[in-house]
Amino acid sequence: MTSVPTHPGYRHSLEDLNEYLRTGEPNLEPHVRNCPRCRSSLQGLRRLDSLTDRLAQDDICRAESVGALWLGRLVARLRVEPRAQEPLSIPVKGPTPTAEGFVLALIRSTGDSVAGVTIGRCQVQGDRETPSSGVRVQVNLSARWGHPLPDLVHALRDRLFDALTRHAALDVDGIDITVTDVYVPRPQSTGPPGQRTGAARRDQSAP
Amino acid sequence: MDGPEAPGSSDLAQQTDVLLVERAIDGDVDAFEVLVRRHGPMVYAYARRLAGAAVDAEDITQEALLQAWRQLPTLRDAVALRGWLLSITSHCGIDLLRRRRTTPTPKDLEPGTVDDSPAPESSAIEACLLEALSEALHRLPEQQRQCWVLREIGGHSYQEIAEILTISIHSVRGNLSRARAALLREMEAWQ
Ligand SMILES: [Zn+2]
Repeated sequence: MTSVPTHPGYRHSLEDLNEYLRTGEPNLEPHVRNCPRCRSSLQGLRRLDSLTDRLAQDDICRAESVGALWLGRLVARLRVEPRAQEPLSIPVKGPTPTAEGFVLALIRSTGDSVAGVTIGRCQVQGDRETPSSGVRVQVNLSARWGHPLPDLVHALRDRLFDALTRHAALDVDGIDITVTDVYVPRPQSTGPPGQRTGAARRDQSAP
Repeated sequence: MDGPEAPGSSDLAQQTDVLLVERAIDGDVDAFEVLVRRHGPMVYAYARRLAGAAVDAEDITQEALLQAWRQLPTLRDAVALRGWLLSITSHCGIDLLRRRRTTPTPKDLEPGTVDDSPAPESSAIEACLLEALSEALHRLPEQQRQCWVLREIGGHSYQEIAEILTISIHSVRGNLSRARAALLREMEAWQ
C-alpha cells in the first residue's frame, strides 16, 4: 500500500514519471524510451489523468442538475450583505449626498433597459474639491448582435444623461461610451457566450 | 425597438466572465448570481471530492462563494476566474473540514448514494470506470485523497498544498505518490 512498486531495471518513481508526463523532462527520455516497465507505468498514468478529467467533468454535470435550488439560496444571502459602498466621491448639485454605488447601479439599470445593451464597467469622474463642478461618465457596453451600434450608443447616451440629471442630481459634462463586446443572443442559457467580435470601439462626445 | 425581444437584464446570462466580474466588483449582485450559476457547480463538485461528503461540500461551496464575493475586487484577471474560485474553495474547504474534524466525524458518504443518476452522454462502460475511480478515491486515507484532489483537480503546486494542509512538502510528495500508486493499482483491475 505504501511503497512505490520496484522492478528489475526500475529507475524512476511514479512521481518522477508523472513529472515527466507533465513537463517532458528531457533527462528521462532515453531511459523511458527503452524501459517497458516505465512505459507501462506512463500508460497507466495517462489513463488515470484522462479518467480524472472525465470524472471531474461528470461531477460538474451532476452538480449542475442538483445545484440550482441552493445556489439560489446562496445568492439571496448575498443580497442582504452588499459590499461596503464607497463614500461619496463625486460632486452633486443637490443637498443629498449620493453614494457612488447608487450612481453605478443607476447607470446599469438605465443602460440595461435599452434594448440590445448590457452595461459593463462604468466610472464616474469628477472634481471632488469643487462641489458643483460637472462629472464625466465612462461606460463600457456589450451590444447584442444585429443592433446598429451608432443607434445603440445614441439611445444609451440620451437615457443616461436624462437619468443621471434627474435621479442623481449630477451635472453631466460628458458621457464616454466604449463598445467592448458584441454578443450573439442564445435562448435560455447561462453558459459563457461563444462567438464575439474582438475590437473595442470607442465613441466619445458630450451629450 | 425590435418587437418581441425582451430588453436588458435577461441578456446578463450571455455576457463574458470578464464583464460580469467587472459589474460584480461595482456591487452588482445580479451579475454575481450569473457567475454563481455558471461556476457554482464546478465549485461544488470540487468541494465534494475534497470533503468526500456531500453535507460538507454544500457548506464549503456556500462559504467559498461568499468569500469570492467579498474578495472579488482583489481578482486582477477575470480570465483566471475558475482557477481563482478553485483556490478559494481549497482554502475554505480545508479550513472547514479541520474545524469539523475536531467534533466527531460526520458519516462519510458511501460513494454513489447521492446524485448518482447517470450523467448525460456517458456510456455504461464509461460510467462504470468513473464509478470505480470515484470509489477508489473514497477508499484513500483522507490526507492522501485531499493531496490528490488539490493537485489533480485543484491544480495546486506542491508548495501550495503544503501551505493549505499545513504539512511539509516532503509529506505532500509522499501522500501524492502513495495515492497515485494505489489508484493505478486499482485501475489495472478495471480493464
Ligand atoms: Zn524504467
